[in-house]
Amino acid sequence: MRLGPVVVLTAALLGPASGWGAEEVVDAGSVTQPGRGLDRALDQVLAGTGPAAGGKRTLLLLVDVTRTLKEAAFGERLGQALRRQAPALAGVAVGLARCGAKGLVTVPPGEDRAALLGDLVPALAAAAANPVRNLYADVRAAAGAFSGEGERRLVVVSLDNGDVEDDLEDTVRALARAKVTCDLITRESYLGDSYAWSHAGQVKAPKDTTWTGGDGVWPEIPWGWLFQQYQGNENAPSGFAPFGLSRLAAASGGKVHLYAAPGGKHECAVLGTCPFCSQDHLPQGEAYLPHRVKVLAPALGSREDVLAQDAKDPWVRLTLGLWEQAAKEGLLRSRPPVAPGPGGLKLEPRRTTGSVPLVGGGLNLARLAKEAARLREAGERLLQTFEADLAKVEPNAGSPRHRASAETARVLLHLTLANLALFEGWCLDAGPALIGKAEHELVAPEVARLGPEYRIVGWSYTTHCLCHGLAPYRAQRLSVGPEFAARLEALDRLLKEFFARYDHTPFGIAVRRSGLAVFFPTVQGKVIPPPEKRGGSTETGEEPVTTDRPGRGGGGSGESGPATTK
Amino acid sequence: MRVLFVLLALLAPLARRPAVARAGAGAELAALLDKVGGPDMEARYPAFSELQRRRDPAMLPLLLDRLVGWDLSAQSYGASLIDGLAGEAAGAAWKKLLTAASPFLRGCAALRSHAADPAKSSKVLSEAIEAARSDPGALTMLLARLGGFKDAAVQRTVRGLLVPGASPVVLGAALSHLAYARDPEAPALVRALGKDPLPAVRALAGAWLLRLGEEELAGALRDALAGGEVPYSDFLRLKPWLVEADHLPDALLEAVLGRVEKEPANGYVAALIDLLAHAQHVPAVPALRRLLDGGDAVVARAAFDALAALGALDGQSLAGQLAAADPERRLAAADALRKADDLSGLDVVLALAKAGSPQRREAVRVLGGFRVPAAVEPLIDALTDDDLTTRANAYNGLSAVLLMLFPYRRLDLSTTGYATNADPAARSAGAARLRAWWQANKDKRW
Repeated sequence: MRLGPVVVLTAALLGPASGWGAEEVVDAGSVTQPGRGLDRALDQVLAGTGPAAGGKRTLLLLVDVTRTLKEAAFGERLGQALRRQAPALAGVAVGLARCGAKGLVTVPPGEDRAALLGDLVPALAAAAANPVRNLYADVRAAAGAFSGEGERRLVVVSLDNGDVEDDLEDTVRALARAKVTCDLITRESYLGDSYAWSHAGQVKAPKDTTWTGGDGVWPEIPWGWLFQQYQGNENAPSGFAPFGLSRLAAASGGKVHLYAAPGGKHECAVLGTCPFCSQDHLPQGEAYLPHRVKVLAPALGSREDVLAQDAKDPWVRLTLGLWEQAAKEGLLRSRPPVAPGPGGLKLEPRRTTGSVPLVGGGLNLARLAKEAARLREAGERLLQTFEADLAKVEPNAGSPRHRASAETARVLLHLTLANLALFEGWCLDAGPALIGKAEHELVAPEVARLGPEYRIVGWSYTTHCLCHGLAPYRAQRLSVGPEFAARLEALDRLLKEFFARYDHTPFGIAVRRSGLAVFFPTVQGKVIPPPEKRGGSTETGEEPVTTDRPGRGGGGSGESGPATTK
Repeated sequence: MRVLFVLLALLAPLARRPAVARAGAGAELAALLDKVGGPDMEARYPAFSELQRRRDPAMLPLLLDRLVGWDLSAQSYGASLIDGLAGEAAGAAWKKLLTAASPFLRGCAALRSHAADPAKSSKVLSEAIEAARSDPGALTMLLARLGGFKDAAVQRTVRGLLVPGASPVVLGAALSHLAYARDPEAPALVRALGKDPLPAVRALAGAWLLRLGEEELAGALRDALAGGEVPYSDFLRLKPWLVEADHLPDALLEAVLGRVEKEPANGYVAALIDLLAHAQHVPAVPALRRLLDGGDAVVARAAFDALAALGALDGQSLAGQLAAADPERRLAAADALRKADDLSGLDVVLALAKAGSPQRREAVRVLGGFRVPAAVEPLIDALTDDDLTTRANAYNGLSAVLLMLFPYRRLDLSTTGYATNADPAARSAGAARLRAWWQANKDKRW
């Protein structure tokens, strides 16, 4: 029997060994590999799947050289991995491309591993910054650099970029045209990351690009709730890479390998220190459980496809409805980032958001207490409707991830109502004394909060976490109003249910990083003149000067999340 | 004229006073330095600590006069004293020591002078390392001071120490430096040490390579551990490399566990257990549970900490430990539970924090971690304990607890007149004021 034509026909039907033409992968859980170590990731991408039927295999490493990558000892680890995988790499042409380098490909694919390291190691040693880069343009250029037959594999190594995009689907098409499988070694993004929205006025993407971020297509959890100092989801590692990178892997038949620097320690507070412990907290619900996280993975079709699908999801419809209403009432400062459109949801233009009307409302605390009560009552009505609607949705309808987002929104609304009750109490009791409008006798060890040289001009708040649950708040003397006890009980019941389902997942962390507020007077600041401006320009290197990547939360590198599973 | 003489006579003591003071201070410094360099080993560290606290530049000329005649250990203290002084005086001292007879001192001087003259320092340091080869003690101490210092010529010299027959002590120090410096040429030389006849050398090489993800000599390390052929000092050297490794083979961890069950020295066992905890080696749990109730307190404590790190001390097991016969174990269990937001050990801690309890010092420290109203009065009581550390633990704990309970008050405990090092009467009075304040405010709404 002649098999030749059968083989040819089968290959044509199945597509080449690179995996093209088989987009059965639907979510990030399918492409993200377990583990967080560089050695394991490098072993897997270098060993690959073995030579293709034609025998030839070409591997191109596209490396985003940054200070973070240097600090991860990538050069050393790559050298060791090349040595360990020497048998698997026999006859494999390996090349190097560096983001931002002239001509991109600095070492054409070949068998000279020393040349590869000889180019990469000095570049890493010189890396002093973490510039913001459009990785996708480089991926397209790298896809076009392959030549010859055989299996083609592009391994993109970037610990800092991937959340700034120009045209993701064009990049997917470029990989398809060149029949290149794309593997990624990268870091986790944050859950439904809304940073690019919450900091819309501050983050500047390079020209002709958009700052995206987040593991999913859009930030699904309403953010900017009243009295939340920072967004819990923006500080919860998602367990997955930025959406764009996961999409490249999924569409090309590749895999995503995540890296986390070893030695991460739990920190309860995103900013400052936790008042409820001695910074020795060993939280029970923090380590991610892979099977729980995988179920909540974001979808990885094209943005258009995902948005079309999401428009039909009952949880999404309810969450967007709540979001819109809560924004109108002044309970949060953001608006939904998507809106219904023909064929599905569409991404709305990003708007710089200010604060909600209550905050910055002056020092008439009696009036503010009434306003807080009004807001709380409006929120309670919204909550009642939302909870009734949630109860009508079949638990297994729609996507588990969108259900988690809806339930997180529910918790955040409960928290907001509890915070409003706290604020009412503060306005009527502790607040007037703290702003000097009511008598308060100071007996040692109590001392005046502020010296006589300060002029109180307003008030602000700090949010403490739910990392330790609600017990610490019950012990604190919080100047509570009459509504607070009931709100706290309702929150307690809800949190027990929520954590039973979502602890050990990013959604659990997002809620634990949210919390209840304490309020304090603010004073007139000192005027500090800006430094003198100097003329002249700075020299540019081989690429345009880009902003160094901003820190997140307390000014760190973005690793403020819990250490996820190894 | 007589008036003038009287005036001069009156003023003379004043004029002499600074010189006398200087002479007195100088004699004190000299006496302390003589203790640092003297034969009484126990007197060295306290004298060194006092000199370090003073940071008096006047010490330098006296030190330089003595340094070259001191033994190696004293020279090391001397180098640290110079390190503790900033500025030109220290720089000048190091410059003088570049030509010292002692290779150790020359090497330290070269290290500290590197910024000023890299080429010369590199040459002097490399030469000092070579010269110290005949004195393993000096060589090891000099290598220890290199840390992460990066210089191609120095690294080449240190690599030259990785030869067959090298002593494990020197080898360990050289490998530590090359690990810190991330020397790219070292791995090939370390692989060659796999053929060394000494098991301890092969073990060091195996551990060093595991740091880089290379397992080719992991078997040698495993065998050496299993055979009890890795001395404690060598294990302490290679342990950080194993901690740095991304992955440790199971067979190696089994050998570590095997060693835990056979090794007689409790410090060594504790270090082995710590490694198992760090590697999250769950199969060790049954053995660790047996050691928890064993006779040795050091080992039991290490087992307890490891089980906690492995998550094998769930609430139930820890709660069980609250009834342990050993009060220190009960305290540790209560503290571990508290860290996981379980306050069920509070009563145990309160009982051990009472006056007269031998564990009061530690119990009061642990009590400060319980941010609850029930902790306040026992902490106030402990403010009047006879032991300074107990009082300090109580003060720190009370400050943290009150700060948390009263977020809308600004509290400064010292305004009650209390200080941990005040006389007993002042301490009692301050504590009484604190107690009165607490009674008046504990039920207030804010």
